[in-house]
Amino acid sequence: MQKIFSKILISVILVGIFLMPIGGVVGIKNEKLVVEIEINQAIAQSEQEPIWHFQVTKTEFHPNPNINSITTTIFFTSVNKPKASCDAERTVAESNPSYNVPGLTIGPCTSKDGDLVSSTFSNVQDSNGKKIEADPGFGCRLLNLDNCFAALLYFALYKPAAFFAELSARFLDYFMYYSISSKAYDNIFMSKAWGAVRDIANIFFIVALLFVAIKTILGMNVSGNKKMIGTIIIVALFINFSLFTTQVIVDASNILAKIFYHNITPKNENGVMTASKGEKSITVQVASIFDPQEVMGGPPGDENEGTWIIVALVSIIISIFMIFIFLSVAFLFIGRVVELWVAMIFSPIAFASKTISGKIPGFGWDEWLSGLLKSAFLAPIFIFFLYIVVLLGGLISSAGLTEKAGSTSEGLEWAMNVIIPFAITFLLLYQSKKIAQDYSGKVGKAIAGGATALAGLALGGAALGTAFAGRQVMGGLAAKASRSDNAMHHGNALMDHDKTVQDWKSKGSIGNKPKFEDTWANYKTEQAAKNVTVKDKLNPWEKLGGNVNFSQMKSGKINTARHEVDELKKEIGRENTSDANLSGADEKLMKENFTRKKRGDIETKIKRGDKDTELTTSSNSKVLGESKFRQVEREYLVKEAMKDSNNTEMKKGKKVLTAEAAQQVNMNLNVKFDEELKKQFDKLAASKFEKTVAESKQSVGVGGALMAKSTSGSYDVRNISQLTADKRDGLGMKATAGLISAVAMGIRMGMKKGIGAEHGTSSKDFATDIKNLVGGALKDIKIDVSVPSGGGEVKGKASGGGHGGGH
Amino acid sequence: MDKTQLQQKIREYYLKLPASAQASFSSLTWVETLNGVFSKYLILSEDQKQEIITETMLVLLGIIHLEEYENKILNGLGVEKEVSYKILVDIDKAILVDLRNDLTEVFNKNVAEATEEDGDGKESEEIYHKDLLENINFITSGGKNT
Repeated sequence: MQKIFSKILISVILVGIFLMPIGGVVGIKNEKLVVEIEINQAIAQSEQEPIWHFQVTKTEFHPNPNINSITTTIFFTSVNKPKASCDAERTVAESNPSYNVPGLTIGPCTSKDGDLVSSTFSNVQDSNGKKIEADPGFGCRLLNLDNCFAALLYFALYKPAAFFAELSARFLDYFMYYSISSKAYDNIFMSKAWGAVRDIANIFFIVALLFVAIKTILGMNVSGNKKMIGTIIIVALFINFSLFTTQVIVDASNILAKIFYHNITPKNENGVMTASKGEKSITVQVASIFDPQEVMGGPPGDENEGTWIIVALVSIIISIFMIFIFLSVAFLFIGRVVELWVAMIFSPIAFASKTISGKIPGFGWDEWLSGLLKSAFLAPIFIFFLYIVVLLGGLISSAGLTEKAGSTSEGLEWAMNVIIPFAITFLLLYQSKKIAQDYSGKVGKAIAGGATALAGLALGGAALGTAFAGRQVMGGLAAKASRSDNAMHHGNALMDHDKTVQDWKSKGSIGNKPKFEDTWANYKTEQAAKNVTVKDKLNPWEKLGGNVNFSQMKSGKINTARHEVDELKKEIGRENTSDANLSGADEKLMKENFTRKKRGDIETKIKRGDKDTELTTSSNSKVLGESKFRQVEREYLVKEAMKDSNNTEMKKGKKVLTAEAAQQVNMNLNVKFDEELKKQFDKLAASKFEKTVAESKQSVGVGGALMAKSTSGSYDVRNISQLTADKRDGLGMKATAGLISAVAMGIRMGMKKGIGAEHGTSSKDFATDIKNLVGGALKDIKIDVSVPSGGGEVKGKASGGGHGGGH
Repeated sequence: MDKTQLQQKIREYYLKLPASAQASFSSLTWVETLNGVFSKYLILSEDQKQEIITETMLVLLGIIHLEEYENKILNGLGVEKEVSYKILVDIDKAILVDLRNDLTEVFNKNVAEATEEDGDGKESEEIYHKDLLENINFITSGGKNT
């Protein structure tokens, strides 16, 4: 089912990818019905014109305290709005300036893009008319070395770090855009290089045709030659369309990437909101999560040098991390472009390699296709995760975690407000990069093998979260869910159904398998008879709780049965003997012991009249309980005794039993009851014994055992280390729990005893023994030395059997 | 287990490893690496060293989960937490760091394979596992997916 679902999902994604370039709009324009078909070519991004925007985006104070000046850069970005609207916004911008700059006049709206005014102005005032002081706190003098250190920190470290951080951000912005743009893959060098490789590949085609021709002339395998010619022609066709085919894959991945890219809230490189579909500053959006500009503003209220130094250090560290993460991601995208170029250029060789049986190292079909898909899908996967990061960033900001202008936090609180959002963003970005690399690799491998990992691509993020969230919440929720009345009903009904199924199986599985729906209906009827109302349809919470209850009841029952059977075996001296190895005499003895031990319980149940303990009277009536039996049976016996006149006498005009006859009736009643009790006891004891043995043989199952444990721990596969497998458990349970308990324990014990080293000998001897042991185990296995090793210090030069031999 | 059985088990689980983990395991440099780590911690007894070697072999073969391994080293050695933590970090850096994903994957695969073979258990678990997926979806969707 899962496989079918995966296949459907892959098909939908693939169809989606190929249909994505085409979008249709039906609407009414100028009172006419208009159908527009939009073809989104990756190469031709239609530039929507940006809106007018006035904003002071960059303000730098002059570091020299004696120069009271400020460099204010004001960007005017343009158009896509009517002039009237532009003028209106301009008026608003002029009347509510971020800074009051005397002498600055904003020009009239024009239709041009990107009008820019950048100048240095003196006597800059804030919106309240207060003069802005430009001194960041330096005053390096001989007797004030703190200030000198601050100045050194600012000029020698902060400024370069900030500069390189900005540079790396621009670098990343550009290469991310470039990598998913078709322009990157459409150039003369590419087509010329591909043409050259194609010509070489076509030589294979000619040689192959010659080979077939010679074979035909010599009359060798003529029927096979025909088939071979067909194959050669098809491959030759593909060789000449290899660039096109490769570009289709690259374009598909780029278009997919652009969906996420354009969904990231658009800001241009100046941090200004824009509707542009062209290159945008993703890094501005990412950086806005922790707002680095605000960091250098420092904690409000603290203006001494010490605080400023801490602020500067935090800024420097953040800048360095930014450089690292931005550059590493940028190089990932540069690498993608390079790898895709190589894949395109050498695509004819890869297609040609399909015709020959031998592998072409580095250019074989499998290797090429896997590399192409890995590189191509790296972009959409990374940008998808980036999109998630930005979304989460929005949540961080809205949760008030970030340090914003106007904040009143100080000291450590300020530092935490800066560092935590940054750390979250950094880690998310780093993980995104890793996940993109991992997933793109898996996607490549899976598609190349026609497998299902595209589902992983689509569901990867969700699955990660689901698995984590599932593990975290299941434990607590399962316990809570299991406590409701309906969960108890569901659990009880499941137990009933389990019993019904076991009975059906024990009778040879004849007829249709019992359905839970029927058991559930019966259960509800039974409950209704007791005036208990059970809901018709339970919600998933209640079902979950029911499953937990059932698992616990069932596993508890099975464990009890196992314990009982083990005790019985112990009593007859057959401890540790498997069920299959018990003789008929053993079973008889066990049954006798069981019957003896259970006599009291069973007889009490019969006398009490529990369910399924019916007694049969002499008149063939079925009754429950001793008192009822005695009542019915006595009536019968008296009636029978009265038939004989010797047993009766007349008292006060009534015919009654004589004292002797009445005593005889009582004796007969006791005898009859004892007989019936024994008969019923033997029947029930035998049935109970069989049931106990059968239950002890049932498997709890891995899922059931985990479910049963779910209220005490988290529902996690790793909990298997806490499970213990009984010898009667199913293979899966044994093997699963055994991965820790049986296999691992066996190996642990064996390592101590069976490899030649006595416990407690020098670890060097033990190490030698381990090597011999492993070498011996692997001596016949061919080890692929070409695979790079995983371990940090492992060189990967293994040789099969090299470590073999004794010691 | 005797030596032959041990070798059979090692072989069985080795063959299930991905290529990179196989290369690491078969090269046996992990044993030397462990000896190198031991030389830094003179406090370790021979028993403790052997235990670490054994547990490392188990985790490299995908027989135990990495968390189980970490738990064994951290809590099962009988040395101070601080020391066992440092040992674990050293081993992780030198041997496990690049193999973590592979080892977790192969362990899960081993578990999954074992579970698939559980023919007896499947039948009886069938009923109450029917709703499991629904339950998990429900919970992880925050109760929306009813």
